[in-house]
Amino acid sequence: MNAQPRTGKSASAVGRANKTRAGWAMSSPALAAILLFFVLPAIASLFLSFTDFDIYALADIENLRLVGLANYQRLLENPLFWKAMTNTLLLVAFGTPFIVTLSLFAAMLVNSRWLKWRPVWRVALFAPYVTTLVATAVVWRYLLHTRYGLLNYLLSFFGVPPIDWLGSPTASLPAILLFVGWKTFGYNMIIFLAALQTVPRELDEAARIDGANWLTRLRHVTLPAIGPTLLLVSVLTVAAMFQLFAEPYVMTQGGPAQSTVTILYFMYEEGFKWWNLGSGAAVAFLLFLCIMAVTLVQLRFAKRSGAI
Amino acid sequence: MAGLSIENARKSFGATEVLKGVSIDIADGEFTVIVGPSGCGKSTLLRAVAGLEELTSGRVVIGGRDVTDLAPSERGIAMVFQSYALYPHLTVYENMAFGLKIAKADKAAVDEAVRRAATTLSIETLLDRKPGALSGGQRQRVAIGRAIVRQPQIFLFDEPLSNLDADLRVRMRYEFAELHRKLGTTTLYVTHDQVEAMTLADRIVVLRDGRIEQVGTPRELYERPANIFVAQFLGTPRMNIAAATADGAGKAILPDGRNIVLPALTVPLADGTPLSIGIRPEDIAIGDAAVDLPFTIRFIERLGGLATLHLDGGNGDDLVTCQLRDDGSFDEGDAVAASFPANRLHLFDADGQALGKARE
Repeated sequence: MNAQPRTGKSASAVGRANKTRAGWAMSSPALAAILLFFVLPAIASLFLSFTDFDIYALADIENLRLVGLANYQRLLENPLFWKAMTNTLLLVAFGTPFIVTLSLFAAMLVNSRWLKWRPVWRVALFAPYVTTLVATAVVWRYLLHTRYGLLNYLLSFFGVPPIDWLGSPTASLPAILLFVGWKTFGYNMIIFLAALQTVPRELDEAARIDGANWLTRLRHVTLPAIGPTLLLVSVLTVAAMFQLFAEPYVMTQGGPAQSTVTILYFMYEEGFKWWNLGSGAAVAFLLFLCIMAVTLVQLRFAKRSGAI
Repeated sequence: MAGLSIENARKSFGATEVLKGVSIDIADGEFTVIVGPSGCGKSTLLRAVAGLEELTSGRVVIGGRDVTDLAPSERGIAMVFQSYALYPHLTVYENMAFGLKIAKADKAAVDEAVRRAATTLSIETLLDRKPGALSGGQRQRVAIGRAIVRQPQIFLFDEPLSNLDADLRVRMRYEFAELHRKLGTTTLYVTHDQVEAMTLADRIVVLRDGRIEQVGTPRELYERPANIFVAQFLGTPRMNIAAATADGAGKAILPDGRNIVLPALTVPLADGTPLSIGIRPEDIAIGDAAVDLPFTIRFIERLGGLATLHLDGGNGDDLVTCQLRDDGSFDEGDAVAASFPANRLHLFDADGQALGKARE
């Protein structure tokens, strides 16, 4: 190898340089978009979070002052921030498994061979995701109505007394979660469906011949086969749960007794109701850190369990 | 071990009937190959035996026990799939032990069964690897290992060699034969490859459009095909078939007026009876121009030791294929004379069914 002629070496060096240039040329549009729409805003909001940027600063930038970590300190001392954080973490902790499981089972249902009219089912189950949030929220307010709601009517068959879903501080978060689950599982279902369709049918059949029942096949065949997709959907759902805003905004306006104030809802109020944009930016940055931390934990867990 | 009976198996998918009443009896320890063109229902039949496909009507009996309504795992079968169907996240050892583990077998017994099967298949060194790190042939062996570990009464193979390259296919064919000799387990093997069928089978079942065309030993099927389909399905290059008319005096008249001497038949053909004459390419002899039919060599496929000549009778009919040792004495465009020995001719009636030849 060392005896290669000089000309050959320089030719290969030129080739490498060309390849490098081509690589940069092809990836630069995407990199530029990421820089412009993700990195710069993130840095800007990090910078904002160290200022007292408010409505006065909007009028005259001279009014902008650097306040160091004061925004963060004030946030950490604010009980409503902690209330919002607790609510959000509850949504993440219960909502993620709920939605992922719901979507997975829906995907398995519409993927099963014995189901008739599969395309109709697929459309029906995906429809909530593409319907307008505000319109469906109105319908859900009826479904969750204490006296006339379908949910309480169904529960009455099991002897459950009427629940004031949206008016009670304990029931409001589960009610929001139900609504969010119904609204979003269709999207995850489609992702799962795509993954399930790549699992060879023979694997399932081999397991059937080996005597595996449905649950064993799910655990040992289906889930390992769709491991990376499971991770993807979990990460997306965690991020979506952390950023829940519209549902509590239209259903409960954060109430009752701030029981449905989420971190993003809190950020919205800080930033656009009270015009403490610096403080809002600090919330956003903390939220970013939270999502990143949980995602890293998920990645590590997935690596350890061999999903990726 | 046990025998296998399939009784009047029918299977429909919607309006399409895939199996139209198939009955097969397979003796204990027999190696039976189901062969047929794609879409003939052979895989469906195998899957019905495995319990992966429910029959519309009919029965599957294994070892005298009606298993038609039993789950796949309760039938005493093991199946090797075309795609191997190894669990990708499990090691070779875990793949092979999977069935026994689910059956909650004793750990030591599982270990012994897996290691014994691994030794039989010479894959002891692969036990810690995952399927992704194995070659096609190794995966195939692991799939067989997984089947052996279950100690089934019946082995089912669904086109197990289709994903392998030609060299490996030949080798695995030999290994299948060896394995069957060693284990003696009743085997049902599905393939579309007639070479696999001819080389592996004790008995071959030829399936077409969901019906059995013929059942018999490879030799029987080759020597005495029941109809034109079987005659042409087995053998490469395939059998030459020409339409002719009997002259009532032991000869057949070809459409161009030439005639061929026929073998003696159990029931002689009346003058004017339409028939088809078949002859295998290796049975045609190139010989004496004075007595034989004249042809021109249109095209030669030289395979090294053998050559396939495509002969043109100059009458617009299909080319006649002839296979013989290639001694280099033929060239494309040469005029040759070909003879069709009467005792090597196969005769079929107007429906394509074989006509019985009188014993010689």
